Amino acid sequence: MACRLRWTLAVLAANACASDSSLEEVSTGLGGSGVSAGGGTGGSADEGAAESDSGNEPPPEDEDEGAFEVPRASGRFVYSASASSDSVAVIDSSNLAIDVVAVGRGPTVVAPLFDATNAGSVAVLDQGSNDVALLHTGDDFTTTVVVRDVTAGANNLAVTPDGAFLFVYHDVDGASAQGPGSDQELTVLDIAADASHAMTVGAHPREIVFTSDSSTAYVVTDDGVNVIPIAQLGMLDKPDVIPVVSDPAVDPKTVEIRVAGDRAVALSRVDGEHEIVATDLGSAEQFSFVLPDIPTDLDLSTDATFALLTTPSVHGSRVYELPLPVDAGTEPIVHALPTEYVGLAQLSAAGDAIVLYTTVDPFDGDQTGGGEGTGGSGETTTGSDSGSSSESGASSTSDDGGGDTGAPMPDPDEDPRQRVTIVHRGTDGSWTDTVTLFVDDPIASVGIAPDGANAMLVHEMAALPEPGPAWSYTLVDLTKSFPVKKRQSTEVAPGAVLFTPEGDRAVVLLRNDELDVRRIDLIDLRSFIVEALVLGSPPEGAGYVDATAKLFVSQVHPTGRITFIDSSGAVETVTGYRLNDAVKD
Amino acid sequence: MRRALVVVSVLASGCFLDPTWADAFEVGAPIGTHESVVWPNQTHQELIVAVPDDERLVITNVPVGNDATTIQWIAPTLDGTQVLAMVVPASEKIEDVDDKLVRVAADGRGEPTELPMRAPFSSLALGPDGRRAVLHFGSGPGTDVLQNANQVALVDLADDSVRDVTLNGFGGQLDSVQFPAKDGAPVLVGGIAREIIAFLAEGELVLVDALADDLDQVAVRFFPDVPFSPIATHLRAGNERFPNAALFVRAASGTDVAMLTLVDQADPQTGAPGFSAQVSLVPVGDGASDLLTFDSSEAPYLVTVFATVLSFIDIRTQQGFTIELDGNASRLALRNAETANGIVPQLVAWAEGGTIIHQLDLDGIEDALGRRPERLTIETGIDALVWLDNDRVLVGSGTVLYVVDFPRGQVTPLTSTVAYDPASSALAGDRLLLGTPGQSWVSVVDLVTLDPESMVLDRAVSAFFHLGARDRLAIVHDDLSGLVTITDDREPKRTTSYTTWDIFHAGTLERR
Repeated sequence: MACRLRWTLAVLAANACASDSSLEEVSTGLGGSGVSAGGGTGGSADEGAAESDSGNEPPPEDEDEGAFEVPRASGRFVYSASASSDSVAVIDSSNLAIDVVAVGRGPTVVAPLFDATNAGSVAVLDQGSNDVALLHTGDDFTTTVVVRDVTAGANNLAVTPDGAFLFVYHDVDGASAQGPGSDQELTVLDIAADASHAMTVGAHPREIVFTSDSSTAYVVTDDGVNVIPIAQLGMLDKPDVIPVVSDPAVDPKTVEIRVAGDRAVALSRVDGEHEIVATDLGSAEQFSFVLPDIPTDLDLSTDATFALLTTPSVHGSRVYELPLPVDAGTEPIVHALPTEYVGLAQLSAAGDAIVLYTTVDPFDGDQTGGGEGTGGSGETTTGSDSGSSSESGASSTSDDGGGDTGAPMPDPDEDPRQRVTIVHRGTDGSWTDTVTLFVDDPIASVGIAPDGANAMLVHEMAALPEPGPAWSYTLVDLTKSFPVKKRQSTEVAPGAVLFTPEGDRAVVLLRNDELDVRRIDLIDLRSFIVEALVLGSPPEGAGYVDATAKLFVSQVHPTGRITFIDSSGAVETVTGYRLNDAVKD
Repeated sequence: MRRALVVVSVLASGCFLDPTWADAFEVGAPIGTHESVVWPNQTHQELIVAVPDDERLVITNVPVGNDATTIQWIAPTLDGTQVLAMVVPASEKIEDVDDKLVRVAADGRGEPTELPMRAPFSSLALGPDGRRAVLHFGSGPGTDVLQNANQVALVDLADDSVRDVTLNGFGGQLDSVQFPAKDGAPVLVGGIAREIIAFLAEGELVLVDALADDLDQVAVRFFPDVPFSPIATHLRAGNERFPNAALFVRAASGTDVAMLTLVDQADPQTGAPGFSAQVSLVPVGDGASDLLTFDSSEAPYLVTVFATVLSFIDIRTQQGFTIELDGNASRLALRNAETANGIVPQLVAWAEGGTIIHQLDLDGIEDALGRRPERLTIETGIDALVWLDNDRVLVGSGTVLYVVDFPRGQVTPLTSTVAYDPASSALAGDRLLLGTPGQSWVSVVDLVTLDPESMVLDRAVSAFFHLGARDRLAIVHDDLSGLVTITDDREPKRTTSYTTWDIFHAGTLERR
């Protein structure tokens, strides 16, 4: 199964030193000091919030989802769709044997289907003929194709974890724009039963989330979240939309929604707003949490046991941890970073490591907020006013509802994008071994390997490039209390990054057609040794074949080119596989 | 009407040379077999076969058509034992005469064998083992009327069977026919022996299994997906390093070599045994002027050359390495070299127009980083290079002919007054035979002693043939009546040679 990194961008400003003292953990009481929950918004909380950040709304962060279309793997096979030849090339990664099968018109998206055997099963969306081709490749390398009609205009696929149902829909963030018609029609294919169900969902769907037992699908739309119990597919035509923001009239473009499927909870954040809304997707009950600060990032832990809200401020930042599921008594835990400006968080899969950073420099005159917001520098408040203190071992503090964390302000002379804070999180939510590091160049995005052992910071171009490569990325060992980091410079901006599921290897795509740069960096995440591999064509995407433990890198080539790298580093390339569609026996 | 005119001319001319009379004989360019010189006589629709005896030339006229036909082309078989003549109607207006391929023994004796053809094929391709002949329209249409440009005929010269087939390609017009297996031997595909013939067209190619009763075909299209015009093929049989047979296809330009892995694949409709090809493109840097395959102890390699770069590509992984040359090269060959480590494969690279012959020992080439090719320099430039055997090549360089001996690293120049023509030379044992058109002498070079011996002729050479089965050289001179000098191929001397004139008219009176 390919593991695709979801990137977040962040930048930190401050000194190159590591600073344990920059963190203070705060627990706030419900409605008491800046956080409110329940059906209404605590008046004092709102007031506190308004007081804290009035006129200092943090600039929005740039969080890169890093989506890209690449061939996908299932079993030991890699499937590459060719819209120009209406075919899919099936490549056996064990021996690079190639087969090409005809599908509908304009195949684009390939979605692996769960298969308990070593065989390959994928769904291929044929956008030109409004159908889906279901491909199954047996161990003997013969592929069967079944074509099912689906809704017109679909551009994305989502598969239930058990592989039994395929959702075909138009993703408003997808590669192709909606043509005449509507993007609200969705088709669900019952793969085993050879049945399909069409329905209408909210406006502009952008994501479909499933419960881990595949019993329920949640369709995230601009109108809210459609709840689709799989068992009731035959009875659904217009599933109810559950609003997930307190003001349904808010511009959807400003809303960030995260759905914790197994908790049946949707969390929403509106740009520039203090409020976080948690919606019970079963009862539609909403719980509003009004933070003293304005969050710029909302993250869910993989196991959906908590959410993180990152609130940057030139007076010091806070990170709020909201335990899930929520109820009227839920109290967020506040972790303060009084000397740091962080607007984005990246969580490890196990939730035991957090990388905090920012992609904006609030002290830059071009940025919202400006350097004038540091007027409170030196104003310090310590101590907790209510609620439980954390068990992290760090001193517990709480603010009074204001935005000032009571600690030294971030240094306006430092670019916060060149600082990264690494936190180790205990199973009880406590933060330990918090350390802030300086990095040479502003951070553009951050990814954490699936095993949580290492992180990769991808940097912006050096502001004042010295002789030599202007781009770089940094590898950070998250297992150490004082992380080992390694800077790797590159001649072009690093592209997509792929980690293996085991977290032992990664590849970075490097491409610049003008400079004729077409290579990948192969990274041993255990040793941080990087090996450059020059490719025959510019890389366009990467994936992973679990069955053969091979990384693969698809490249821009008129007839298709994929390079495979096995666990020993041996490299194999197959080129021109799309030509097999033009073989006439 | 044409026959009547000829008869009148012959009767009027008697036995003396009269150019006007000779003009009436429409005789084409000669070919050489292993024992004869053969001309097509269009006037009489016959082949004029001249076989040297000890002291005279035995002329035989072999009729292959009549006044309703024309001889489209003639060609010797690879072993030189037979002559093939394509005979077609003389005019599109003639409807009751069929196209035919006539097979005649090289000495002109015996009855010609006529093989009916369905079309007036303009071209012939012969398999490396000489058994298989493919007639096609690669050189253009045979006549002015509508023809199927992709119609071909496969002729088995051993049993005279003819199989007609239309190539099931993608619409491209056939350019050339190639037998990609150098030795002509079949390759195993899924355990079944298949004799692959490649039909090359613009942007595509068609493979035909000549051993299959149904002439199983596989067509591969490159255009428009990739601008790839096949011009050369090379077939690698499967082995333990790469089990599948693979056909490598080089294009006129581009940065890839196509690799067609041949696989067993039954007909999806009938279930009948068949084969197919898995196509992949092997990146070879900036291009490939030539290619070959070579197995080291570690990997099966595709070796290509372009400009000053040799590329070694593992055909299993498409990964490899390059080796820089000191000068340009565009041609490749493999030979065995005797070294201190024993006999090792050696790559030889050169370029027509270049000045260096590069030699690179291939033993342990993967681990020989920094190994530099040895070089032999031809200061005056390489016009043509012809392999004599594993150890020696001839290099034509202006008016100098070099004999290059690789084991000795020896380059021996032989000077002449005209440029060397590789097509006008032959090798007989350790003797190099030269009869360059335009020269008035023929030479024999002892390749052991490098001692040249020449014999001056009375007339300039027009065409030169080595008649190996007769141990003779035949030197054809320009003459309207047919003039040939025959000499010994071991020690050409004027005293042991003889000249025969008026060959074209021999038997004229008998014919009447």
